[in-house]
Amino acid sequence: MLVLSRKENESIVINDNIEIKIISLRPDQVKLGIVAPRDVKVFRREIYDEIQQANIDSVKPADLTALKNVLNLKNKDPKEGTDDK
Amino acid sequence: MIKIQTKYYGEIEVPEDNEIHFIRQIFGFEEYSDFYLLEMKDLDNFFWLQSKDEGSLAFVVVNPRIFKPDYVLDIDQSDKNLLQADADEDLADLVIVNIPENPSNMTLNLLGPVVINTKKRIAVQAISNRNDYETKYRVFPEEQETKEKLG
Repeated sequence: MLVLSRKENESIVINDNIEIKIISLRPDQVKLGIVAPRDVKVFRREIYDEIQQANIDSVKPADLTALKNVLNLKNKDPKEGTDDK
Repeated sequence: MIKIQTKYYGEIEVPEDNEIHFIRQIFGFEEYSDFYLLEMKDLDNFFWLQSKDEGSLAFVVVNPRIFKPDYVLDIDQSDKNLLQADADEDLADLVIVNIPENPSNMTLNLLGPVVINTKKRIAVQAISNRNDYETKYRVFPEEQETKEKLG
């Protein structure tokens, strides 16, 4: 990993078209400003981790009969006879 | 037709060209690129996203608008480029359903929709630009609330 030291209002440039600027520094938090082309995605790391964890949680075996019962129960206005092709 | 192993239906035959190829895989499952979308026979609007290569790997997916009618697909242009979509109409979005032991507590991953180019049959798991979308959106209110209302 490349490690660079920066002060407030200083910035780094990545690939000629992405700039990351240190907007403000506090003891426990740094505020970053990012200038990047529209097609460059910028997300907080936690977002990726959260989606990955949700995916992993979703592949556990599911009781589909119980699910069906719940959906029938919660659905006050079940659509009847609209399928069965 | 080719034969694949499935999580819930055993071995089944599927039309080979129904395969959906993930250009960017489902996060945490990067080694699996090819899936089939199988209708759940007795559950309207629900589908299995079944891995072609790993029978035990299948996600339950649903059109988010069934439970959240105002759901919008808001993804980056870079994701649309990956999907090679000529028009937004070519894109279909589904969200992964988490079904816990008590299915009343089921949740939808609104933040990470699975987006499919239905013409080219390629897909990505995208990240929604909407800050208010969660990975565990509750479909039904918590049981406790219901009880309070009844009492």
